[in-house]
Amino acid sequence: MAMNLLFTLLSGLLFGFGLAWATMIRPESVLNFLTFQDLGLLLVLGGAVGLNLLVFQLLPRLRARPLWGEQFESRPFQLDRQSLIGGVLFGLGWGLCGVCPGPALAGLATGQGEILLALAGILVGAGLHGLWAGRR
Amino acid sequence: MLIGFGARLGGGCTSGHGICGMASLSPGSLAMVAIFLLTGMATALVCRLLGI
Repeated sequence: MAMNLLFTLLSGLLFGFGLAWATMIRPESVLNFLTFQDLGLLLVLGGAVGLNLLVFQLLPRLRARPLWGEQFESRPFQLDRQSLIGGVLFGLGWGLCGVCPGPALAGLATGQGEILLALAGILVGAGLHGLWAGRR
Repeated sequence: MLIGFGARLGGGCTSGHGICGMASLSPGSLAMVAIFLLTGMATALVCRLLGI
């Protein structure tokens, strides 16, 4: 259990460091990517997906269970009209401010007001979704 | 607010669908990434054009 927590912490540390190193926590750099002025982030996305592709596809075949977990599980997701609308809303917000949830959390450490504000917005939006979904 | 609402409604964000979903070769995630990338690009381009 303690091992689990330790590796969760280390994974988060690595992810946050990676996002910062890759300049993904800078909204300008994300907006430059979205407007085709600097496609460097494509390498970041490609590298992350490529590496994870290998790990996700190979590891469950090589090992019966994860090193620090009970079993391998796949990510449950069903594409439907709602999730499509969610994708569009997310894209709108992302294109407007150049911030997405992971980098916003990592960017907290920079103490930039812009990122704090965006993160506050994300929390409010997610909370509103909870209220809305709870009423249905 | 759009990002938070959209990420929950859409079942994931750039990290969830973009990295984990695509690496799991999940067709739904691939579609979602295409959608928010396209919407994001369109929005950002429009903002640049309007000079915001």
